[in-house]
Amino acid sequence: MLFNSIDYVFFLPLLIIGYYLLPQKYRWALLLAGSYYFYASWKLEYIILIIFSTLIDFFCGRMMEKYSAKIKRRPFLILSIVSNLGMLFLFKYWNFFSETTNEILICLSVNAEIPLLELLLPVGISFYTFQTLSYSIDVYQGKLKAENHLGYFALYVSFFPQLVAGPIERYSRLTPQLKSIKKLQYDSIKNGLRLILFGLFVKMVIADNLGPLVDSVYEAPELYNQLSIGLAMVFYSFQIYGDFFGYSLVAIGSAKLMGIDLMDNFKTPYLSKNIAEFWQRWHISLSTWFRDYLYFPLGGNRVKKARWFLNILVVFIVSGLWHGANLTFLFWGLIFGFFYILENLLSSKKKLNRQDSKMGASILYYLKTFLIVTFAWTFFRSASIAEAFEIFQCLFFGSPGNESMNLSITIIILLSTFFILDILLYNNRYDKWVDTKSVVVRWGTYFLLIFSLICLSGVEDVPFIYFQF
Amino acid sequence: MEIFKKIAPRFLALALMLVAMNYLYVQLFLESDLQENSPIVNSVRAIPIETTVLYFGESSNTSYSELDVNKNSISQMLNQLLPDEVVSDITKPAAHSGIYKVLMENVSETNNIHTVVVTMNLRSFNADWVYSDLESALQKEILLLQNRPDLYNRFLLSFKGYRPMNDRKRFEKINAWQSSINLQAAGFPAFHNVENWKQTIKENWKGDDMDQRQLALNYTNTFGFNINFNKHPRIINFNEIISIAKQKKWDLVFHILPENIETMEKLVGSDLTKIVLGNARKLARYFSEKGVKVINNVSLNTDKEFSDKAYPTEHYFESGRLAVAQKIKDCFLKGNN
Repeated sequence: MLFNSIDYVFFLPLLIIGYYLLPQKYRWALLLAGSYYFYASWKLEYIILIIFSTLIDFFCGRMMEKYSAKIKRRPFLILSIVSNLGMLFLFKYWNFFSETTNEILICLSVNAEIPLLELLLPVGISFYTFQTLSYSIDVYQGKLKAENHLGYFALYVSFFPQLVAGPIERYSRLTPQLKSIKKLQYDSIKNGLRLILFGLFVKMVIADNLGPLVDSVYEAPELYNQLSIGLAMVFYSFQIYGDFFGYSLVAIGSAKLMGIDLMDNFKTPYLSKNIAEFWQRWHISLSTWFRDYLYFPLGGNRVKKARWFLNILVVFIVSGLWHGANLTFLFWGLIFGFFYILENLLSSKKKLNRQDSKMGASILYYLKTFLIVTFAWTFFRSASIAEAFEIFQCLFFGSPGNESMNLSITIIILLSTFFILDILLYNNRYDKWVDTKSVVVRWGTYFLLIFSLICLSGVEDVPFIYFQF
Repeated sequence: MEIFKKIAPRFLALALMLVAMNYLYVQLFLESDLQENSPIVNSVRAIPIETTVLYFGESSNTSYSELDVNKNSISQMLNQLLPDEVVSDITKPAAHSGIYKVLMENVSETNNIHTVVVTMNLRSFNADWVYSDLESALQKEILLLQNRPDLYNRFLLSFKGYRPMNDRKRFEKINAWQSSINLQAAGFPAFHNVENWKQTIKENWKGDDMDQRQLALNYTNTFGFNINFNKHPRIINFNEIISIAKQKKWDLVFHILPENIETMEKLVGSDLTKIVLGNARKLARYFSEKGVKVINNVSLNTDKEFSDKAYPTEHYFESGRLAVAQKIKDCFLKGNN
């Protein structure tokens, strides 16, 4: 079930009404049933995987709880990691691994072949496996007490607003909220609806209108002139931002309606002065996950500089591969790792602080970061490395065709509006920002957002980009 | 209670906003939306005021063969055969009763139409067509033309109320539909369902012509069904068409398109042709009892009148189209006498 579908328009209010009508002790059951229904609407069989992951991690958590010595806990941590990553590997990476290995075997003239599997990638598998992994690791490290209620644990794994594309929540943040008594609060409903409205606007009006324009250029870059190719690259940066930011806002807003606060996933990422700052503002729940469960265990920055750079590269490569089993994602991660290190080598901390005070310089730094990110997105968007290079070739050296992108004035106005809104909301969230405004401005923005949402949304079926991960 | 006191005036304000938005939408965006997303509206608007007979058709109405000397459509031929009438058409490839219904609702009543002829394609009743890959686009195209407030239609368009379906979902639906058809219960041959039947054809096929075997399988897949008159979406839509025609005071003619009975008999055998003829007969009887003139042309044309030989379609050579037009003309003449 998509957030921007008629089904969700009915599903969410019904669930919220049921949630507040039920006594607290039964709410988990309703939310769990609703979450499974939400997930099963993609494919019923997917539920088996989520239940498998839930049972394994619940069991491992309980077993780890039994022992105080880490040596005795370790087998259960390994079981949790192997089963979750094994499932992820099988569904997401097996064919990539087989194809790559088979190519190597051919090069080595070895007469063997690893079979490919015809498995459909379950929606959101990378998100919920990471969520449950964080639970197992935290219990192993003694940071958490293992959950003893299977229902609440299952709900933590499958809570529908953030199930298929995050934010990747930590057990210690989400479950206490699921367990606490939530009364129907006007502020929760108001802010939840505001976030959903703004999120849908960003996804459906901005991202979904940019999507077809970007697709047309990426499908046949050789037909387009250089300006159109450059625009398509920039538009993709805004499409993926609008798409994922919008999704996250609807997720946060949906949870907010139940009085549950999910973590913010974006904070004006394109107003970042460097790549390090960008990753503190983009997909925050994933970058903090990698920080806590990969970067720190590798030693973080408390190691020699060369090792630190290696740690950074490892994190970005894994982050790239987390997104998909394709060399394009690996490249994407490498680009970020490379520029992260390069920026660190070129700028001292002192210098970076000085930049803060100069407006003109700040804008140049924002622009530089945006260009690097846009360059990286080109690999992310392309189906292959060769396709990405074709885009760059057409951008810098021209293409045989001279077609222009079919750009309408409406798109320009909408994108400009989004850009301005994003600047106005710098480090702030729409629900909190609008709360400080007068009634006229508040209702004026509601009017414009609802009107644009209904009348100017893209009409093509453009799925959420991050659902494929 | 406090919360409801807070919410109520805001709901009222929202309702007023929606009314204002509907007005703004109609004034500012509706026409461009129609041109972009529902260009079929232009065919409806282009119906000449002097039209007396309106023909709704799909690709069967059109010439697809280079060999045709006369490339006129069935409706154009009908126009020539009925000199006292002005026959106009709305032709939309892959259309079916669900699409005709919405288009009919949009036909202005300020014209001279007295009769509407609606194409009834037996193939459009099968699962492949109900869940065709063209269906999402068709539903999307007629969404803005539905008889509802314009802002609500646009809301449904924005929220993908045309229910787009990916191939995986379509195939799941098709498989579920086909496996639910019980041919034995319908008094037909000793096959539980179409898959079972197709498997038998594959196993017992004699000869090396795999193209012909594939064609036999396609015919079985396409026509091996029985119609549930209580809940089949096409039946529901045809019934709605009857209501619309009553409202608009139009006479209604349903004409069942010819199918290539000769080829299916040759390739699959009489079991399949019995199903096809039986389904056509049931449709004719069902709608005749509702007061509609039904022309059952299902076995009208022989193989030589069909222009597609590799797949079951209702694309006819000019002789085939003329035969259909003549049958409709006969129905008109009978009706007038």
